[in-house]
Amino acid sequence: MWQRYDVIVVGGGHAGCEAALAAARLGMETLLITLQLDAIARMSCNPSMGGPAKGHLIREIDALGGAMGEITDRAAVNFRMLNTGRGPAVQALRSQSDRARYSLLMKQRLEQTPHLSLYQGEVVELLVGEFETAPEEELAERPGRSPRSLPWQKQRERPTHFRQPLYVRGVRLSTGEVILAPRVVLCTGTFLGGRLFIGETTLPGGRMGEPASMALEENLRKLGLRFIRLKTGTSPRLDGRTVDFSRLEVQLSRPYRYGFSSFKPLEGGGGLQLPCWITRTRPETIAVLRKNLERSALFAGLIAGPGPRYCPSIEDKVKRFPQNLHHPIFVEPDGLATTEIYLQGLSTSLPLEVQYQMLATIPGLERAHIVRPGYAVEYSVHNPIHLTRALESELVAGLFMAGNLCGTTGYEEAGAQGLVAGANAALTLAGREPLPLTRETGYIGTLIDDLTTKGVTDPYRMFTARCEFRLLCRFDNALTRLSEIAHRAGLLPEAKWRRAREVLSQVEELREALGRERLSREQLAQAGLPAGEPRSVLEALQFPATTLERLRPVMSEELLYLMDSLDPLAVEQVEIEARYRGYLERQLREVEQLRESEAVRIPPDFDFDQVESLSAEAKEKLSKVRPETLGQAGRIPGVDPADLQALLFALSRGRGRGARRS
Amino acid sequence: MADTIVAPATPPGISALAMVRLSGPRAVEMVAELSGLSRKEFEDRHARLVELRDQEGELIDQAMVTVYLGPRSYTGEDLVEITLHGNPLLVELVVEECIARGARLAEPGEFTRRALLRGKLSPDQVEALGQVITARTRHGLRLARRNLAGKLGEKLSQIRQELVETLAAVEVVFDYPGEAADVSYQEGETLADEPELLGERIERLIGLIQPLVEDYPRLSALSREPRVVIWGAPNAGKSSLFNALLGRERALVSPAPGTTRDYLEAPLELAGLRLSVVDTAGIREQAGEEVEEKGIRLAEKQLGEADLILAILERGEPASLPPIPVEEGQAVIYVATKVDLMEKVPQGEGSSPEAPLATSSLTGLGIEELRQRIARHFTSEVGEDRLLVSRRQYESLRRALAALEQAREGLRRGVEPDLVALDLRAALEEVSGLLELPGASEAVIAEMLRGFCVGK
Repeated sequence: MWQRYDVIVVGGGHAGCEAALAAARLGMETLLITLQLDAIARMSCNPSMGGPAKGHLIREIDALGGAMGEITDRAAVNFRMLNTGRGPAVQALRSQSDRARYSLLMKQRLEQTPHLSLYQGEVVELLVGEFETAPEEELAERPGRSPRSLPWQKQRERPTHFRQPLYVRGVRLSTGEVILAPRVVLCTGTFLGGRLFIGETTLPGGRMGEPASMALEENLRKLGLRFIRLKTGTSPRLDGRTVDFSRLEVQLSRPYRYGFSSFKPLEGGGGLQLPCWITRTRPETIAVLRKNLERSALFAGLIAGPGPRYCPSIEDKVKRFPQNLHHPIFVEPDGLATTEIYLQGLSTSLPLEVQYQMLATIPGLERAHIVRPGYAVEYSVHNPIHLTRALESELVAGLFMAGNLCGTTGYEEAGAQGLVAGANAALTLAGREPLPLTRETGYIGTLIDDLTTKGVTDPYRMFTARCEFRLLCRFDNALTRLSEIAHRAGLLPEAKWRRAREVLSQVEELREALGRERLSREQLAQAGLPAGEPRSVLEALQFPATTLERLRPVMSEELLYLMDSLDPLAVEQVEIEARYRGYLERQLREVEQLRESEAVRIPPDFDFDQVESLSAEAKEKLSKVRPETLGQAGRIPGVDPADLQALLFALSRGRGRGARRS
Repeated sequence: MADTIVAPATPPGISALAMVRLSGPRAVEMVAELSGLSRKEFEDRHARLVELRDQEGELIDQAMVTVYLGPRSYTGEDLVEITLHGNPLLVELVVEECIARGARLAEPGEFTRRALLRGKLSPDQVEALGQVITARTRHGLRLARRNLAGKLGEKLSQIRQELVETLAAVEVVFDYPGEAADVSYQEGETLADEPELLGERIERLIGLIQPLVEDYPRLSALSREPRVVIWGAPNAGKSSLFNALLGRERALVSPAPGTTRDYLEAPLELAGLRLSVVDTAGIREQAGEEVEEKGIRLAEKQLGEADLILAILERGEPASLPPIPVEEGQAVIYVATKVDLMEKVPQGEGSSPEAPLATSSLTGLGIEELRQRIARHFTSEVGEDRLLVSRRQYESLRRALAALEQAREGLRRGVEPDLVALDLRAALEEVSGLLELPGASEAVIAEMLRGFCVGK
């Protein structure tokens, strides 16, 4: 081990892994430090991955060269495509993972990655310097080692943000070791200041059975970083031998050609598969819960931080929807090599005895033995409103953050931020621009923009409802949307880029072929379409409920041959784009409008207080968020169109002055 | 902290009195300095006679000063009204003195904008305020006051709330598809898989927005001075009708076609309405000379600005009427002239060329009926439930309506619910914009999590 790296990643969860992989992929000597090497990429909550919006995130991580998609595919024991028939924008895959296998495969991936080292230890201090008093050599000689694949511009370290008085120098471990690096990515998950709650019992910890990271929080607070407290929870896990599966409704896995990775089809449609099961609470369950509500850590006033609105505990549900007596419970296998069972829908912080009483009333679970009780965890979160859109701290240059630390929950949200933070740490160290992931590029761009523009007051998860351009940013076209950005940044290995280009060219080829082939009146009628004028296949797809499958009988041999020889990912994309052309064109126009306002940049040191006609409220909000473009300013709640006009006017005047000076 | 602004509140020009307003944290201090008194000598909501002096101590004017301490003021800040003698020079001097003491000349609309920012007015009330100031008819004023009282705001909020609820009931299913036991809602509560129920909701929303859009052309005319334009062939009797409506010989009348070259405009008071009636040059394919052709082009321009068109049919003959390039929202009354020359007088109400309203400018037959018909057009159904929207609100609501109609059409064609949701979102963005409330995503997600029992 060296005492000097380019990038240090603190934390080995889903954010930390993607961060370390991205930095190392960009050629930076990277060290991932974690409290527990055997807990790499551990799924703290349920073993499920993907679903609407979250599945989109995984496909995007994958398209940007990340590992989550491939590893989910290899660790999955159950696949389901959700929202089929509800439209192309909201369709996405969900899978159940073998929890242990997922961790193992991710650890393996980290171990096989060049320029990446792992280290077990507790970071207790972030070492920083002050720009004002820094010795000239120290700023000039960064980074530690010369990166191998990035074009290198040797340059003096300087603040990327006008309010950054500090810069990162490295970290100190609890053993006293000092490891230096000009970039540090914090991915502390629920471990920073973590406290666990089971009923009336409270103990420090980041996850059941694992110690929290207390000293680091103390140190970060002293540096001037501010934290809020948030809460999340998880369900009890059972011994599968004590569950009566014969009384549960079964849900089987389905075979698919592709899983979450667009680079590699699933092996044998997804390998060895396991079923999931469904059961429901009964009125007796609700009665047990009602009787014991005040014993939940949640309502006993022990937990200060707000929990996730979108994933309430069972006691929360009972309190808010007293008329609902039959809450569904999803019974998920934990993996192939274990009998452990996860209960989705029963997240709770009630005392263990109440958890048992509750189970005793649920069909199939009456005699279940709990192997791990459900619990709640409260942890410290750094409000992402104080991060730049590169996920860099506005206080400490070179300090990046990702994952639950930024107020999100979910493996996918964490992985997405990890990749962005790790890549940007590496890119900025090489003197290059951060990843240009704006809202219209997809769910990751939307996630980052939401977090840094609006901040968080309660845990944030991704929804399809958050992505206003969701018809453009679909599950099927992540590769087409993002591979170019990934390639330019250097995030895609040559083989993956070749594959991306192959899909892109197939999309072009098929689109052209479908546009070329004309269907006569008779052929249209034969396919059950209104005859009218002859049309190309591409045009015919715009008729209601018309698919390529439906048009097959009237297609030429050549076209059928071409279609069948192409990658299903390319075919699906072309078909969707032809079918929903009108809607897509409308979204493209909206994107154009967004781009115009995103093109107006606000200088990082712009003084909003100097713009007289801004309202006091707008000044305060703008100074807090420090938007980087006019478009971002417009998305801040409390900043209205008149404020934007005033801002635009002030910016254009400012630019004028700058031009005269130069 | 906001700065202190100053501006004349009355229009420039000589009048009995004129008013200057100050708003902001230093407003009271400034007027105290100007009048050589201490701040404490001005009581909240009391008028006080003072002598205003410039910095050299020279008397500017005697003035009445009324102080309104925030937040109980129009702007929500400390507000001062200075009433001077109505000489523009005095107004200028007082404004200059305030600026010399650190005030800033207010930008147009800034007092109202501050009221909006401090929650004293809602965005719809700001629009209503403009309508109160510009209304030119009693009916227009009544409509504007209704909006100022918040009636339109209530309606828009209702529309927005229903849009949010509808969207949440559609989109909750997208993010909680139910397959992983992540939902506890009952069947029928959600709308993504219930095209019929969704169709009903969309129909209801259309029903809420449509009247606002449809009433706009007629009601907005009331907030200005409605223009009634007479249109017809040369020598059809337009100018005679014009004179008959006004009850005086305003236009020159002759039996020769093409007498009216220019257009003529005259005010007409009708049942509490103040209208502008416009007589135009007759329209014919082959205009006699250049000046007549110019007159025709002017007439066409007038027609474009008309709120109501009187289409003239000479002796009730539909063929005598030149084509009318009617624009959206323009109403037409068909009027038969010179019916005293007809054997059989038409009995129509004027709703179509086949049923024109019979008039004779010579005998006065039908003139009173026409007057009433015109008045009725502008004032009928200005009932309690009718709401006037501004131009901006109209444009926005029209786009919202179009989006809803597209959603209905999509549903009819069987497109998937996520695309129908896109149209609903477009409508919601429009309505939210009018209320200056945040966009669709936040509101829909909040409603989704509030209204449905979801989550694992």
